[in-house]
Amino acid sequence: MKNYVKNKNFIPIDYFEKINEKNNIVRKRLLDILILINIFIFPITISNLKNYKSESAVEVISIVEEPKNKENILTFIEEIDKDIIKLEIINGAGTMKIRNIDKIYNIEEANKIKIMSISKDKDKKYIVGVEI
Amino acid sequence: MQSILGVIKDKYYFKGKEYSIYKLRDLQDKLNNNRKIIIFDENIFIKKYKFEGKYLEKFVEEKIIDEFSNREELLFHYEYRKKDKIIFLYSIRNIIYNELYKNIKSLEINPIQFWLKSYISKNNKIKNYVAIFKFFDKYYLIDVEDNIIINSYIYRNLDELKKIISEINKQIIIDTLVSDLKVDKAFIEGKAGEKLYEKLCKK
Repeated sequence: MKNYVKNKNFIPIDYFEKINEKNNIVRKRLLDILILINIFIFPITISNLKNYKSESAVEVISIVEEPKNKENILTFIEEIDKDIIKLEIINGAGTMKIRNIDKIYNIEEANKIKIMSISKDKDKKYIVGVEI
Repeated sequence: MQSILGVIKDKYYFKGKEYSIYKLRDLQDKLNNNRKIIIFDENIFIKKYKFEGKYLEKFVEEKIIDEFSNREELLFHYEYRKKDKIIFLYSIRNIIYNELYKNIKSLEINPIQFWLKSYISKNNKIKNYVAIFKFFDKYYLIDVEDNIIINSYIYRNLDELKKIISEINKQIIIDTLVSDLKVDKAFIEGKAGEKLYEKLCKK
């Protein structure tokens, strides 16, 4: 839609007025359509907003990132067996939940993974802080 | 794509063919809805106003109402020069038959003097010059300052034009179609005429 300015570019006044009138009608129609769309969309937006508010917050326990080093990944994967209950590693360090104390001795002996801390949880399982 | 047509007095030119006002229906059938009309052989009347207010459009509208009692027969254009806050108000006789712009999608109207100016500014970097142009046996001279037309003349014969050229102290652009004019001064050769001929007169 080309816009014209009154008394500019030698546009005849009758053409200018007619185009202006047409443009105003088109603009008014567009506005009506926008209002209609809004009327339909508004209730959906409101209900979405309500759902959003009622959703319980998600507790983030740990962020698992991919270890950058391929060897590191393999070192940890090799240790996975029936004694390992859970393994959480971020950037080459993290925790292992271990069922049997012999497994901890094995890790220490192998000397591939450093043991930083050992504690017991309420299920009497060992939580071992490890690092490459 | 625009249909480009020329109008001289009561004659219309489109793709090398001449149409009188009695043949406008034939012409209308050949034109599309986007039209560019070039007006030939009409003098441009230029008025200058100092303007330091805020509402330029309103100011121009008031001046037109106050000073042009025959405004309904005229077409207007204005340009504002910021450096000295001057408005140049241009008016030209509306010789276009209104059926030619009724119910069309877009319209562009250019007096030949303005078409020439915009052609030169597109193809040259100079902003201050005098351009001499010839089309349909009329000579046109436009005096341009800061890319704004400050004076415009139409000459029927070469002698009148020669007198004026001797007084010009600006860069001169002479169109190649003005082949009958011999000038002692240095000038740039313009090619606007050839381009317009191609657009308007070739089938």
